[in-house]
Amino acid sequence: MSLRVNPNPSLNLADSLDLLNQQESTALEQLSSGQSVNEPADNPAALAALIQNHAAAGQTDQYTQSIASVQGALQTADAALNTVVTSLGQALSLATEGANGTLTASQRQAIASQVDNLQQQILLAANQSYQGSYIFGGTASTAPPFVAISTSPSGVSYVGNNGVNSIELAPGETAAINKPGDQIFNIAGADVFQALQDLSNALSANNQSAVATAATEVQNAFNAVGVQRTFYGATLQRMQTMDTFLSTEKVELSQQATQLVGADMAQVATNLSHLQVQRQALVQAESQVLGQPNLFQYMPVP
Amino acid sequence: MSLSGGLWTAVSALNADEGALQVTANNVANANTPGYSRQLPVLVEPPPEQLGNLIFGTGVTLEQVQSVRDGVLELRIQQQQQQSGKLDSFLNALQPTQQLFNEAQGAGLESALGAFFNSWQQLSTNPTDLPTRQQVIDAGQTLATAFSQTAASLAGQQSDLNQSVTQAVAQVNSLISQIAALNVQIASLSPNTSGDNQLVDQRTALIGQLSQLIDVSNIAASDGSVTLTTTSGSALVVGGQSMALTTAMNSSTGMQDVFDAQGNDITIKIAAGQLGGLIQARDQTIPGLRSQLDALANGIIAAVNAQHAAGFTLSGAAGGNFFAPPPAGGVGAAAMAVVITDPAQIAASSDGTAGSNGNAVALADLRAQNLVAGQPPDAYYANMVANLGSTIQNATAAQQATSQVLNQLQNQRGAVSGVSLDEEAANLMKYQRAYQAAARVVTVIDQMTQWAVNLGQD
Repeated sequence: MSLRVNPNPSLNLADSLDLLNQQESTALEQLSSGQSVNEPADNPAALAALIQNHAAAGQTDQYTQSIASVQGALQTADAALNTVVTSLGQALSLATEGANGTLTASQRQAIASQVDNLQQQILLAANQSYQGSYIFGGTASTAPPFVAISTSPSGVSYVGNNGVNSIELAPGETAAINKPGDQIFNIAGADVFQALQDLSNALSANNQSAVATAATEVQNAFNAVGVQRTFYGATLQRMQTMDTFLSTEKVELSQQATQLVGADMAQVATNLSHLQVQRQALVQAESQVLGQPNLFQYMPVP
Repeated sequence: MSLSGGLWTAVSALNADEGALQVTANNVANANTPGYSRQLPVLVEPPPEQLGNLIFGTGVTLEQVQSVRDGVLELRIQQQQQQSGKLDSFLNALQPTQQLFNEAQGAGLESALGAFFNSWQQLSTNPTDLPTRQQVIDAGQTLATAFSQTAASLAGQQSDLNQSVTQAVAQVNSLISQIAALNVQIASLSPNTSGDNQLVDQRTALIGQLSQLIDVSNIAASDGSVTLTTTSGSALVVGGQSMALTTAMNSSTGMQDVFDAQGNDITIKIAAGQLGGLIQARDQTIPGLRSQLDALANGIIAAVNAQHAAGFTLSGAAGGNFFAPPPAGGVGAAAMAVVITDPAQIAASSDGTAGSNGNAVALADLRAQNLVAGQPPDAYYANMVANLGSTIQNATAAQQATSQVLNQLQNQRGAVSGVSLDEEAANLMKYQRAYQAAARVVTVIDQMTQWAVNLGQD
C-alpha cells in the first residue's frame, strides 16, 4: 500500500490564502503610505534611526526659525547705526562749517542748535527697540539704555549693561546677537554724545579753535561707529550662510528619512501583482481540489 | 459438517459486513468533523471447528472498531499548539502597545519632546517676549500630557490583560473538568471496547483546546485515562479528578497571580499557551516599557528643574521648579505636570537681567545632554521603541515558524487519521459485494436444505 497523503488538503489551501491575504494587505499598506516601515516591528533599527532623524529635522527647523527671529532685530540695529553714521556725517559738515573764521556768533549759535537736533536723533537711534526690547541695552533690554542727564558731561548717560546674548545656530555653534550700546557709543576718545556735546558747546561759545578740536572728536566717533556697525553686518551675513546650510541639511535629512523607511514603489507594485497571480492560481487549485470527483460518483446505483 | 454449519458461517459474514458497513458509514458521516480519527473495522476469523481430522473455518467476526491515530503525533501537535497559543496571545496583547509608539505614523512622544526643547530655543531669540514664554509653558504641558497619557494607556492595557488572564484561567478550569469527566467514562468501559473511540477523540480535541491556553504535559494511564500536569509539574487532571487553578490579587503589583490546586503560585512558571503569552506581556513587556517611560520622564524632569532653578525669572527672582517634582517611588510619567502658570516666572535669564537668554539656551541644550541612563532623551526614546519593535518582530517570526510546523503536523495527522472518501467508497463497495455474496450463499444453502427435505418424494 502506498504512502497515505492527507485526503483533505483544503485546510492547507485556506491557510495559504490567509498568508497571501496578509502579504497583499502589507503591500497595499506600503503602497498607500509610501513607507516600507509602518510600525515599529517592521524594522526596529530603521524606526530608531527615523526617530533620531525626525528629532534632527525638527531641530533644523527650529534653527531656521531662530535665525528668522533674530534677523529682524539685527537688521533694525544695523539700520539704526546707519542713521547714526549719517547723522555724524552731517555733524562733521556742520563742524567744518562752524570752523570757518568768517562766521558770526549768532551764525555759530544757529549751527549749534542743528548739532543739538542731530544729537537728539542719534539718541533716538541709540534707544531703538525691536518688539519691545531695546537693542543697544545689553541684556538690560527692558528700559531705554541711554538717558539724557544734564549733570553728565556728555548730557547722556548709559544705563544698560554689558551683557551679550548668544543663540545656537547649529548644534555646538553659537553666535552673539547683540552689542552693548556703551561699546558703540561710549568708546573712550570716540564717545559720540561727548563729541557732539563738545561741538555744540564750542559753537555756542563762539570758540573757533574749540570747534576744530570737537570736529576731530566727531570724526573719531564717526569712524568708531562705522567699525562697530560691521558686527551687525557680519552677523547678518553669517545668519544668511547658516540659513542656506540649514536648508541643505533639511533636504538631506528628508532624503535620509526616505531611505530609511520609504517603500520602493516599483518593487512593491511588482510584488503585489505577483501576489495577485499567485492568489488566482491558488483559488483555482482550491476549486479544483474541492470539485474533484471521488469514487462515490462512479458507484453503480441499483 | 452440516448444511446448517455453512448457514451460520454465511450469517456471520452478513453480520460482520453489516458492522463494517456501519463503520464505513460513520467515517463518511464524520469526514469533516474536527478531531475525528477514521475508524477501521477489524475482521478476524473465529476459532476453527475440528471434525475428525478435518478443520473447518467458522466464518468471520467483527472483533473491534479501531480508531487510527498516532499518539506521538497528537502530543507534538499539542506542544506546538501551546507555543502557538502563547505567541498569538503575546502578539495580540502587544499590537495596541506598539501603536502607542508608532513613530512611523507620527504617533508617540518624539514630536512633543522635540517641540518642548525647541520652544526654549525659540525663547532664547527673544527672552522677554511673553507670548514666546507662554509657548514654552504650553509645550511643557503638551509634553507632560503626552507622557501621562502614554503611561495611562499602558496601565490600561496591562489591566485589560489582567482580565484576560482571569478569563483564561476560567476556561482552563472548565476544560479540565470536562476532560476529567471523559477520563471517568473512558476508564469505565473495558479496555478493548470499541465505544471509547469517540470519547478519546473528544478528549484529544479538549486537550488540544487546553494546550492553546496553558502548557500541558500528558501522561497516559493503563486504564485509558490521562493525567495532565503543567510542564512545571502542577497537576491539572488526575484520573477523574480535576484540579482547578485559582487566581488571587498580588498586592504589590495589583495583578492577578495564578495558583495551582495545592496553593503554589505558578504565575511565572506558566511557560506556554495563551496564559503564558498574556502573563509575559502583562508582567514583563508592558511593565518594562512603563519603567523606561518613567525613567525618561524622571530624567527630563530632574534636568529641566535643576537648570530652571539655576536661572532667573523676568523680574530677576531665582527660578524654581518647571515641572512638578516626581513623587517618591518614581512614577514620573503618569504624574508629569508643569507647575509654572505665569509666563513671567519662566527663568530664561542667566544673570538676573530680564533680557538675558543664557538659561533658555542652557535649557534648550539639555536635549543634547545624557539625561537618561547615559543617553540623550531622543536616543533613549528611540532605543526604547526599537526594543519594543524587536520584541514584536522576534515573536512574529517565531509565530510564523510555529504555525508552519503546526500546519505540517496537522497535515501529517490528516494523512494518518483523516477520512478519505475514495477509500470509504471502495470499502463500501467491498463490503456491499461481500454482503451480496454471503446472502447468495444463504440462498443456496436454503435451496440445498429444501432438496434435502424433499429427498425420496415423488
